[in-house]
Amino acid sequence: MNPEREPFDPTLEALLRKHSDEMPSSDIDAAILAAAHRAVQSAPRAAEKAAEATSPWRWWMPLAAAATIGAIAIGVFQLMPEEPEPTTATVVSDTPSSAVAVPAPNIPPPPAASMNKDKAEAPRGKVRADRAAPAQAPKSNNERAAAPEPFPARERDAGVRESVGSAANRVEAESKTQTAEQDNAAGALMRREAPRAPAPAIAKQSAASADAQVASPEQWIARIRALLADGKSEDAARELIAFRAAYPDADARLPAELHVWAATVKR
Amino acid sequence: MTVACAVAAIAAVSHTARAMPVALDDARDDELMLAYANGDAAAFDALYSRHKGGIYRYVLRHCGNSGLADELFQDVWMNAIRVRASYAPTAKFTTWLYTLARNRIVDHWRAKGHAILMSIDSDESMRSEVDALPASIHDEPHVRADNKELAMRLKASLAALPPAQRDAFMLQHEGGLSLSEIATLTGVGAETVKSRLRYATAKLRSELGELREAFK
Repeated sequence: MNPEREPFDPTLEALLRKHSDEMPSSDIDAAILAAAHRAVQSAPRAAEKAAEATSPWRWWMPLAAAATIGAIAIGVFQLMPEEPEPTTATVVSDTPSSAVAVPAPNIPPPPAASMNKDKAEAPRGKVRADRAAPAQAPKSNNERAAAPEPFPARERDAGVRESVGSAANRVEAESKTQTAEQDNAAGALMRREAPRAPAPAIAKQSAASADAQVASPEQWIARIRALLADGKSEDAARELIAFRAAYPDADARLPAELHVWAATVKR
Repeated sequence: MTVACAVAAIAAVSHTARAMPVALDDARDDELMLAYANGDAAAFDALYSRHKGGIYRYVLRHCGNSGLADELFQDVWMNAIRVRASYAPTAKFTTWLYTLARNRIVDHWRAKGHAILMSIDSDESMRSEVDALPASIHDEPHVRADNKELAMRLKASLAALPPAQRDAFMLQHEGGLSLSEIATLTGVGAETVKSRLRYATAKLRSELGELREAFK
């Protein structure tokens, strides 16, 4: 016999089991069960809502956390510095030999405000240029110049000028860029005049050459006759030398009366 | 993204665990009560089905009035529903449930000005007083009963037991509680419970003996 059940009479237990079988009425059962169901369907829900209001893990919080992490990751990728790529070299090598790229030092420095902007945008511009380079390869020089390129505005303007292939335009572009470079210096004027101020001898030769390009042999001869008539034999000799330089057969074109004098002028 | 997936998985697992129903037939009483406390109404249905008869008869034997028993019985279960959130399986569920029932009965009789369930037989020295208690009218030899009458006589004999003995006997018989559990529930020593049970059993056995003789 189980000591925990002692004293225990099995016969008594069986009799009681058989004859003690009262149960609550079905109405009471229904009332209690209904109350139990109401308790977990109404009050507990209110309690759960109150708990959810203060719970740190409401249903949308994992989604919000995921969205935040994604946004941060995208931002980090955007802000990451990209590797330097030889964009400029590629572009320069693509340009034809007739259209020489404007050297970087000749590009006038942008204002301070725009400089910062250029610095910020420069890496993206380089990347876009490299990505567009293969597609631009079969284009002609003019198309390449006309197509939008990722260079700064002034550099892009210079490139357009270069693509025309005109030496005069090239010189003009150089002079403009040089002029823009020397806005603040007193010696700017000198540097600006420098290419236009040759040495005297060279200037005379250049003038003679320029005259030779424009003057006909008859004009040379008329000018020499006038100088000799005025008694300016030295000037007449220099004109003859210039005439000979412009026209190798200048002596043969001279009139007979000048042959003797021309023979005295050294070649 | 890995962190986000882990967070979502934890939330899903937590939600699933909270809503997961228990297997009602095989679940223990305390598991059913915890499931009900977490919102599983079906768990309460199973729990009520298991214990409604025992609690009802326990209440009925103490108050002897089916109307009052209905009222007290309903109060016991309503109280169980009300305090479900504070239930902790530190003891056997039946001990917890019969404690609710006993407290309700005590409160009722206290409100009526009666002092019941107090022990008059907690000591062996009280044996003579127990024996001196008036016998049930059903003890009369001329009583002859059929099966129905036997049942009525049994119930009358139970009702005639001293309250403390009846309380211990009913807790053992209807609630299936052990000596120590009854001792804990009633707040007395195990030996006292054992004594009460012995007296109650002897009293009922004598009743049964006479009845058995009457049926012959």
